[in-house]
Amino acid sequence: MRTVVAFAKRVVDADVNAGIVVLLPRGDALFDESDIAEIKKYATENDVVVVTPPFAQDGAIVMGAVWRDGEAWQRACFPAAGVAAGTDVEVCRTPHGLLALAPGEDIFQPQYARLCALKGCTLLIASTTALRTNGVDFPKPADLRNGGDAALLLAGPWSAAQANCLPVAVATPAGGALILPCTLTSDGSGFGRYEFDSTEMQAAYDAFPIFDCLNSAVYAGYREELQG
Amino acid sequence: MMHFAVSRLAAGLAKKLSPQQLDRAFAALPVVQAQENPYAPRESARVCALQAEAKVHKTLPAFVADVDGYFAAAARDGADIVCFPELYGLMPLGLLWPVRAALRFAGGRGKTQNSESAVDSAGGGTDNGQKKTVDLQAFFPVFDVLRTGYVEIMVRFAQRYGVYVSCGTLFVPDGGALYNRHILLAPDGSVAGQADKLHRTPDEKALGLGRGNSVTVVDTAVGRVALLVCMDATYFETFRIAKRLGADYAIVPIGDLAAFDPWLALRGAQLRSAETGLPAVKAALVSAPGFPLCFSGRAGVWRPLGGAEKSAETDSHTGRAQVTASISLGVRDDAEQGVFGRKNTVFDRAYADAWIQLNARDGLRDAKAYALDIE
Repeated sequence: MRTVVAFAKRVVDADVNAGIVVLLPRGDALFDESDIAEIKKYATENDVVVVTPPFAQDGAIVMGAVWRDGEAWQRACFPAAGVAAGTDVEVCRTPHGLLALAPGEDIFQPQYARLCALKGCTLLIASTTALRTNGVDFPKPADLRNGGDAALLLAGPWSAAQANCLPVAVATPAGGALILPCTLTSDGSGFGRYEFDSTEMQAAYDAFPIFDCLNSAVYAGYREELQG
Repeated sequence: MMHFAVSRLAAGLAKKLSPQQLDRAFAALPVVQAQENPYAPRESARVCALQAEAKVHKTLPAFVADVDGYFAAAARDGADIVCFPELYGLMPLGLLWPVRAALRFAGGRGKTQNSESAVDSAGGGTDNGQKKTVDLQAFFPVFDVLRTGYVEIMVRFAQRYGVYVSCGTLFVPDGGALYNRHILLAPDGSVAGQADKLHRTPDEKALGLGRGNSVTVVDTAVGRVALLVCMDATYFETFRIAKRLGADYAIVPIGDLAAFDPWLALRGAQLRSAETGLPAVKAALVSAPGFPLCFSGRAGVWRPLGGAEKSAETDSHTGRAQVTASISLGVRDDAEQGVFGRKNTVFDRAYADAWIQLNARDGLRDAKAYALDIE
């Protein structure tokens, strides 16, 4: 199955060929019922999955995905202190694959993407204002040394993609990027493409079979350390 | 026939690494002043991550002089601990001419391949699509001699400079299996700690290498040190466990038998440090000019993103070099973690359950197929 991801400030600006439209987060985190109604209408009329930015709801931060005959809502599990937290990540079956959503800073907690992968997620969509990186100005490996947004992009969503052989779409206020396993992009960076298909993902896994190299005797003995 | 040949190799290596030969080789080195009070309590440790060359030495004095060059450079930087890369302990094998001949042969067949594995060529490459493997068990006598000789060399350097030495790794027979073992020596030459590589690459698995079964954190005068090896840094879990066991930093020797790719190289220790807040000292093996196999990497000292101190790595993925930096010991500042390192007890428990369940099914080809089971 081929999946095309587009990023847009508003649904009306989205690429009509995309199967998944990810709306960019707004700095003020404002989002209301009228926005949701507009999204549902667009998703139904165009047969696409629309992913909302994170927004405040009932003392929590929430992010949603809406499609013709379904919707899913995800509470941020690792919000700032004082904000109500979700306790699990749901993987939802949509016409464009098994999606999971990572609102706010959840994408910077490596266990979050790991659990998504273990639950069978085929595309993780993160949306965060912690990053202001423009999706076009892709980082270089050396940027990790220097800190700043580029380093955060590498250590958060890029790392999540590589460590789990999982496509990660990340939306920021300035733009978005689809991050694929390195071997699936011509320059080896993981950046620069906005579509993928499931057969490619198997090839990427074969090139770097990360879950085949695990060591059960180690982890079973460290449950407390793993769960903090 | 094989047994006879291996016995000859082991005997030849034992002769070349004998105490008398070592005495002569070390006697030729210039006099140096060992660090005073290497066990004194301190608030920070000076760590030196070497980018050391895989190189063929035809004589022991040449090898010892080469290694001394690394220690001398680290000493000029004021290092308390000097860290060598993965597989560096195999270098004395080059003293044997049959090994040099085998290296040239392997290099001709495999030096252009780009693999995660540091032992890909040792696995023999492919023949009609079938992976050939080497019977490593037959070579145990050679590896036994190598361990004794290499560790003795490093013991003498630890004493000569008065520093801790992370010897990198070498293959060590133990209990009927062969392990990729990381050994840490104290300044008096005693073994401060050792750890076997926890996560094998597919080629290491095919070769039949054993693997460690616990995360090792060693208490030393230069901090609480986690001893990891290369592929162990692929998993953030290893770093998280080490940090929660109280490690001040992790030493990660690497030896990638692959042409350098900065993106693939980025997937290891440097990201783990950002994700978990545990600094990483990465020593890298690189091929010297003319070495028949292609090892590449960059040494560095990596820190959490939010800290005052910046990470550092060598300027190039070729050539010998080192990075020396100070790492604070004791309680780490959580603020260094920035947006990383948040906790959610309920979520983290669910994650740990899923991770341990997956590991209980170790060897599963497609984790995603399993993954849907737990929904």
